[in-house]
Amino acid sequence: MRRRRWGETGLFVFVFLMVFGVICSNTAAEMTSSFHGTFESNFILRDADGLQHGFFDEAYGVQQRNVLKFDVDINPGIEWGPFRVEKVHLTYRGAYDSIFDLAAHRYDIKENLGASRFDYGLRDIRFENDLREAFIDFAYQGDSGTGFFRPGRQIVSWGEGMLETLNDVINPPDQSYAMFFQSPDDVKTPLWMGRINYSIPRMPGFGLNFDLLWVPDIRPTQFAPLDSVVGNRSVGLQAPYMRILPFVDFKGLNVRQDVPTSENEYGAKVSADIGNRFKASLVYFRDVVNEPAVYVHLTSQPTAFLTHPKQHVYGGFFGYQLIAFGTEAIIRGEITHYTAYPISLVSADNIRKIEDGQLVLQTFLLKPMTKFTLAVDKDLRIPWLSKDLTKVSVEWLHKVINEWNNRLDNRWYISGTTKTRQDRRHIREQDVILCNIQTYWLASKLNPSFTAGYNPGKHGEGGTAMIAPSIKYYIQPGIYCDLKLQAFFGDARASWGFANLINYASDATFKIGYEW
Amino acid sequence: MKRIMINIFKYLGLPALVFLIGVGGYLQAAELPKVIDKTNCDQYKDLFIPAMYLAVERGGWIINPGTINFKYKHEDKFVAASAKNAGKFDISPEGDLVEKATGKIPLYNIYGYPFPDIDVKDPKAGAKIIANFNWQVYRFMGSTLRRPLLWINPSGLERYIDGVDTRLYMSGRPPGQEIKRNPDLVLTYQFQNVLQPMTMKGTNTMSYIYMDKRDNTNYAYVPAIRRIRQTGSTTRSDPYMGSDAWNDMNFGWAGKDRSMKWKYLGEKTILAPFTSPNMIPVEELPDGRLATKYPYTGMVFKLGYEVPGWKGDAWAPAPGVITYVPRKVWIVEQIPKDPYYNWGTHHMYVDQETYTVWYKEVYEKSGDFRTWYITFLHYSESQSGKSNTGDADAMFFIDEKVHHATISSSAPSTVDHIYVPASKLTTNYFDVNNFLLLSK
Repeated sequence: MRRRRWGETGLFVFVFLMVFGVICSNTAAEMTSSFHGTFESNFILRDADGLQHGFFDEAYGVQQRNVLKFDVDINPGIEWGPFRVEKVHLTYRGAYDSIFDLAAHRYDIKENLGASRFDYGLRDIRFENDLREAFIDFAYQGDSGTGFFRPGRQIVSWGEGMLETLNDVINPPDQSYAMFFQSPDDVKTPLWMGRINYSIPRMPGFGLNFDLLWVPDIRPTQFAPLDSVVGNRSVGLQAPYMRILPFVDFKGLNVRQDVPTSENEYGAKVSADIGNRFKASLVYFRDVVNEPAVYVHLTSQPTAFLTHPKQHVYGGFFGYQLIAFGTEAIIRGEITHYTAYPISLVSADNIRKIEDGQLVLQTFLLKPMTKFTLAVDKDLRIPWLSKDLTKVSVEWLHKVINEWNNRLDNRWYISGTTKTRQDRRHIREQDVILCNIQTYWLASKLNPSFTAGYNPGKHGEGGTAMIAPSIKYYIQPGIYCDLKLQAFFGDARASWGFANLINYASDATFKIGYEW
Repeated sequence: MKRIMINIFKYLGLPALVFLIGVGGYLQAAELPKVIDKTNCDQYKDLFIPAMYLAVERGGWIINPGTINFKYKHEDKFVAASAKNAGKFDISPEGDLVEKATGKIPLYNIYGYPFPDIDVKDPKAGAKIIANFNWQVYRFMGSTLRRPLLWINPSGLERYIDGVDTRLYMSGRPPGQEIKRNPDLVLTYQFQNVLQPMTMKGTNTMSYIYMDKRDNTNYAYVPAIRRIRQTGSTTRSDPYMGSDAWNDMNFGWAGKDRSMKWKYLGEKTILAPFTSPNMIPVEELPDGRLATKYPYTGMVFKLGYEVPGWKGDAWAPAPGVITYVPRKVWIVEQIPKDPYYNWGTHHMYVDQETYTVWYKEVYEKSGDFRTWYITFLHYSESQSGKSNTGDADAMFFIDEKVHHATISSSAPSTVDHIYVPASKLTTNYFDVNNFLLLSK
């Protein structure tokens, strides 16, 4: 277990004392509270070779997760003129995934890797016991505007993108038990941080808001156990949500997270409301990159270290309510520029260097990258589909690596007598079209939705696609079930898009839940 | 049978309405039976709006006429202030309330009915009645009310959400309570904060309805991605979260007047539903707020499906729970100007004395009758004479086509207050950062 840093510890102690003080204060008579939560049980069935090669013809269970999640909100009713303690908020999530007992033969995973808090073992994906959010809101509403200060463990989301995270890099994804795009809020890792949000007094047709963050709690994208065994390429990396990641080359190596926990992240967002239809934001974030940049130390115990460099993130986003030609739609867009994004190299191009007398392979280059999205949200009346309006969103995502050099460019890769062309131009510029459709049936007793994504492919590579239909059914007040499917299709050899998921990650999820 | 009745409604709706208006006389409650149901409803047909008559005739509803032990009215101060507005205002061709002298939209506070004297021969009478309805609501200044929303199917309760509805009215405020700072010229701020159940928590919406010609600005918080998104204006006529209600239907009408064409159709006497035959006294807080009290304890008063052996509509009030009292109403036709609005013609039944919207019937664009609305309320008064007149205990939205209903009720809660003064609720509350703060 790593030592907590003063910033994170300080926030923890501060929030604890504040919560304690609020609960013990003399305002108990004014205090109100609420307690709401869910208990959900799911089963996820995976098609071993993907739906492209037959509909669940080789199916096996990858998850049977039972989750208790609840929120506690306490409004202490404490006010000092324009200042008040708005609320204390706690979110707890506990889980038990029985698949590791029901199918223990399939998942022979080490119980505990023990290297750092980020190197998960079996117990980390089998059980969860997490106070996900714990913060207190100090609010101000007065002649100088409105604002709040929120210290504590929390999730903050910036941006307008639908599926891909652009400016939304603050809370890293937790991919240890779910895919990156499932339940976006659930797969985010909450962080200890301080947040100040302030709006100046509104002026005619103009409003300005500032959002400031300081994050002393540095965590990377969380992966399932990276429990490979040195020298043995036939074991390890068996966790259900490890196989879908491009980490197969790590088999036979020790794999460890190397997270710069002594760093700080910080950022600012400035948002302007201009008129009553246009809203735009500018963003800066000093970021410890969530995705790994991998160094392989070739010692007697060869070890891959997942490092996380720092970068600047500059961006902006907007939303506009377009009313023209007798119709109405919301146009939104987002752009982000990353100054040092790790781009992986083909193995033949890994950079070799000697550090402390050891041979080290650098498997990436840090390159500036830009992503942008442009999207339209439109409510459509489709009477044959639903009596309700059908909400349709279409989004175009474009990514470009801004600096390009020979190491990233076309290569002939020679392995023994095999000569393979590694045309890396595919990764320089990428496009993805995303679509989401949702409506209500039977007076919202049935909530269907359909998400699809398509990457057209380039330079001779085929396109790849994702579909994710789902339907939620409210059986009776408080009880619901959910059926979801996600499947990937297209050119499984493509070097980008959804290619890596085509053969490994077509899942069907059945869920039943109780909520209050 | 239902289909036939709907078709009769479709083709004969307006003539039938005119007929009812013609024969509808004022009946004393004492002349009415204790129960009106399918066996005797034909004798009292003229006391019902057509949609409700169909519901009683088919055995879906049982009506208990009675008397109330109070005068259902607005406070004297409000009525007196209204009289002073006589002759000051008019309705523009676009449907906006304007100053008679200048023809401009009044961008300042107006207290009382803008049109204290309604001349039914005036072609603008319909729009003026609706303006009066609005300004009697605005006299609450601000309100924070717990508002559960219940989805009811023919078998009973199928879903619910519960939350707090907060409103701030920038006009209609009593003298001394004006909010001078209104840079965006907003007429009404609305904020629906969903608190439970868990999977719906935080699916909040916020709207600004402007004094001038601008379209509404609407925001929605999306909990799954923790972001505020702008949404379109037409969402005000979308079913709210798949229910039978939509935002513009709150309190009978909560939209922008100029978005509709209004027409006075006539007057009649209807049976207005009260949840208590007695006045419920309430305490006025030192800051002027009125804490609400209800004659029931749950999320809503007892409904039919909760009565063993009940064979009527699941959403109908249980027999004996509601006291129906004859009240004289104006009938106003409402037709959306926006071709993308989800609905066609509406008929509103507006109390002649208090401008409470008791009933509303909504037709599809095709002309088919679809949904009716009914307001249930009680009367409370403080010692100073402040009343809750017009504040609904429950609003029922009944879709007769799919035989389903949604109930927006008021439930007892410590947050429930009307007449919320500026010291407790300002425009700052509706800033996007407060929207964010209260959403998660």
